[in-house]
Amino acid sequence: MNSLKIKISGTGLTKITDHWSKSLVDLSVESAKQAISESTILPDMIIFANTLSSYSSSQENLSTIISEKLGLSNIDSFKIESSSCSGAMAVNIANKLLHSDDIESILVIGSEKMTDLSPSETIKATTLGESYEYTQFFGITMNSLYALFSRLYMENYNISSDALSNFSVLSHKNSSSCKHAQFNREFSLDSINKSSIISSPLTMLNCSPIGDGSASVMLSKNNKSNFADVDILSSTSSNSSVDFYSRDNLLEFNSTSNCINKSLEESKVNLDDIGLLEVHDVVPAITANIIETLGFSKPGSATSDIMSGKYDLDSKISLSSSGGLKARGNPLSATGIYQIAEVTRQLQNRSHTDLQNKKIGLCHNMSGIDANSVIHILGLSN
Amino acid sequence: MSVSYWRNRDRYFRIIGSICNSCNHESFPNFYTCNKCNSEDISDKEMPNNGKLISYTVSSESMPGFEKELPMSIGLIKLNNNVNIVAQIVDSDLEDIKIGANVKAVFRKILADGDSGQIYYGYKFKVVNTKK
Repeated sequence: MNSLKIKISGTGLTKITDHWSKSLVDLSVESAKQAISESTILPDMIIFANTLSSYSSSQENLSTIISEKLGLSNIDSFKIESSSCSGAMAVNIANKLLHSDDIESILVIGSEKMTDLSPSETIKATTLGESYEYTQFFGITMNSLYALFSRLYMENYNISSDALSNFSVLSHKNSSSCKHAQFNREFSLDSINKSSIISSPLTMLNCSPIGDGSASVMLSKNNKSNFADVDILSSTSSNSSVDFYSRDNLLEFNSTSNCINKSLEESKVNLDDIGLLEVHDVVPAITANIIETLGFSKPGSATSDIMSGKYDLDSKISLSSSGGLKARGNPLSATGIYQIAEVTRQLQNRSHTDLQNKKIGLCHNMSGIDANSVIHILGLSN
Repeated sequence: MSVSYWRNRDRYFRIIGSICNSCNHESFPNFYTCNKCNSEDISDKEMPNNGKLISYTVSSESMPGFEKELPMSIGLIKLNNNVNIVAQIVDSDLEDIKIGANVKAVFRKILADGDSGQIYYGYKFKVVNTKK
C-alpha cells in the first residue's frame, strides 16, 4: 500500500437501544447525517455494512435506499456483509478503494435492527454467521458455541468463570457515562456472576446484549476534520475456519494473529504505543483470548491483568473505553464502526471521558469465533 | 429446509465427513480441498460413533422449534479418530456430562415442521456411563 493516509473526517452514532419507533433506514440516515455534517463534505461512494436486513427487515438494496433518503444520487453504493465484522470489513474495503481509485471520499454506514424479531428469532439471527447445516440445523446457538469455547479456555488456564467476569465489570464501569451506550450503569462482580445462566458457564451479564444501532464514518483522502485529524495507520483483515471446533488448536485465534502481525508492519506502530484498545469483547473468555493473541497480555494472564488494573481507563492502555460490545452494545454490523468512531472521538478529546495523552488506538472486530477478523490502527496526524 | 435436509440426510444419519486420499486427514463436516496437504483427492468417510467430551454447556435459550429441548445440553466431542464435532447430548444425567466423559452417537429426532409437517432426524450423543 502507498504512503497515503486516509483520514476519518466525520463520525456519527445513534444510541444503542430498543428503537421501536425507528426502522433500519431511519437509524442509518441518522448516523450518516451526523458523519456528513461533521465532515462538511458529501461522499463519492456509500458502503453499507449489514448482516440481518433480509431476516429482520425483509429488505435488501439498502445502500441505494439510504442514498436516496440522504438525497445523494449518481454515486456508487453497495453493501458489505461479513457477519458481525461487516462494519470493520466495510471500512477495510473503503480504505483499499481510496488507496487504489480516483474517488476522494467514502461514507461507511453500519447498521443493525435486532429488536423487531421475537426472542427465539433473535437467537437464530445471532447464529446466522455459523454453519446452517451443522450448527443451526441442530439448534446450537451462538452463545452455546461461546460457552463451549469459554470452558475450554477456563480448563486450559485454570481460570474461573467468576474471575473472568471482571471483564464485564470494567465494561459496565466504562459505559456508565457514555450516552450512546446501551447500558449506562455499573454492575458488581457478584451481580454479574449471579445473573441468570444463558449457556453455562455464561451468565446473562457476561453476554453482549441485543440492541438496534447505527454508526457511520466519513473517510477521505484530503478533507481536514473539524476536529484534530485522525488517520488510518493500518487496516487489515484475515480469515480462518468458521467451525472453531474443527481447528487443530482450539484456543488459537489465527485470523487475529495474522491480522495483528500485518497491522504492526503496515502501521510501523509498536504495541507499547497503543493507548486505546477496542476488541471484540463479546464474552469474557473470548476477550481474554483476543487480548493475549494481540500480545497485550501473556497467554492465560489477561484476567489477572484486568484485575490488577492494567486496562483501566486511567491506565497507559484503556480497554473498551465506551463499554465495548458488552456494555456499549453489539448491533452486529454497526459494532466495528462504533469502535472506530469512538476511538476517533477519544483521540480528538471529545468523548464522554477525558483521556489525555492518547495518540494511537487499535480496533479489533471479528465474526464468529475468530472466523474473520479485522484490525484498524488509528492515530492522530503528526 | 426440506431440500437441504434431503441433500444432507446421509451426513446427518451416519455422520459422514471426508478423508483425504493423499495424507489420510479426516474431517467433519466434509471438505473439498485438504487443509493439511491441499490435495483435492477426497472421499466421503463415515466418522466413528464414539468419543470423549472435551467441553460442554447447558443452554437455557433456544432457536425457533427447539423450545421443548430446554435445558439443552451441548457437547464438544473428540471422536475416536481425533475429529471434533459439536452435538446435543441426550439421555444422560447432568452430573455425568463432564469433561472426559465417554459418549456415543445416537439417532434422534432433531426438529419437526409443526404438528403435521416433516420430521427431521440426525445424530445426537449420549454419555456412556461406565459406572453402571
